[in-house]
Amino acid sequence: MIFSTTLLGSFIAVSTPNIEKNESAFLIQENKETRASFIEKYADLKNEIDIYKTFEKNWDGYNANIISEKTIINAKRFISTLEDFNILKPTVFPRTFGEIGIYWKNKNNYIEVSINESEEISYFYDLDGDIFGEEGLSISIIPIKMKEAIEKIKSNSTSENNIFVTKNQDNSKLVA
Amino acid sequence: MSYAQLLSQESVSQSEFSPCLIDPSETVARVLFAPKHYNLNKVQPNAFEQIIHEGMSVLRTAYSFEDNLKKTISKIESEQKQYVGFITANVSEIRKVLVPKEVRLFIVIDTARETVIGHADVETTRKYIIDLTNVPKNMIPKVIVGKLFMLFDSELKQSL
Repeated sequence: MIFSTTLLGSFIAVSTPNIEKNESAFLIQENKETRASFIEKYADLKNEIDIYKTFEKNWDGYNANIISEKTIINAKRFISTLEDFNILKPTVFPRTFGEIGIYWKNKNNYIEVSINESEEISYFYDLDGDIFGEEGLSISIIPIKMKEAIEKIKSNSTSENNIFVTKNQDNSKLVA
Repeated sequence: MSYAQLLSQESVSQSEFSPCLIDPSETVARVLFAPKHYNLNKVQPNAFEQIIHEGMSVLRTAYSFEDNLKKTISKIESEQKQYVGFITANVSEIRKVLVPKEVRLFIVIDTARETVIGHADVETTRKYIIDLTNVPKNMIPKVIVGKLFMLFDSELKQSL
């Protein structure tokens, strides 16, 4: 399946999946298979996020807040956005103050996204000591600086599970 | 306390029970419990959140480690928490983090207790970070936690 994308300022915009009319049957079939595998890889993240619903107040023994249903929905929405753009699979974790965190990490690089009940995300990255962060961003977009940081981690990653590239992805459509 | 005074704590013993100052070549261990620090088979960034509020407790692996670990586990279990293991980091790596280029982000000081002589604290010099302009101020604690998450080995250990 091919996704049409448009550029929106410095962000990657999300649009409805759309199979291009002139795509060859072969390419569509190949991409369907890859896409199925990709969804499977992300499904476990969403399953893990569902487990957070069971956390009760003080789940950490230090008065942690519960993870609200709205926060869980928002986290899944953001995961879906990552999925739509074939972004390197992250790791999720429950934050003790009721947020859900999503991160990518290797030895010298770290990117973390925070999701709460609002429709906005915040994130920061630390790439070899180069630190940058933004907040108040729509949950439906992937900031271009974040995507570039993830690409850097991906290029340094050796984990087979964490690397996924769709063969027919046209990256030129995603970068401003 | 000035930045220089804060750093000088590494050069002066902070406890009468301390075996000696902490050498950069030492390794320290962060003792983890579930579910706050370790959940769903993963070390969590939450394992380092203590540093936001106070010194983050670690154990020096070179001084009575097995005994100190046992005592720490007993304390954790007495608080109805589940001990899962520990992770380690090099003191020199922690001490060499500079944010920005001239300001150290962490100090590692010996805070030995009478019964846990290998106890130490990792503290942040956060209030001296005035030039981290590329990050919204309220995100700085997360950046600090993220730094420690990178510095510590992610492999959970049961023994040295």
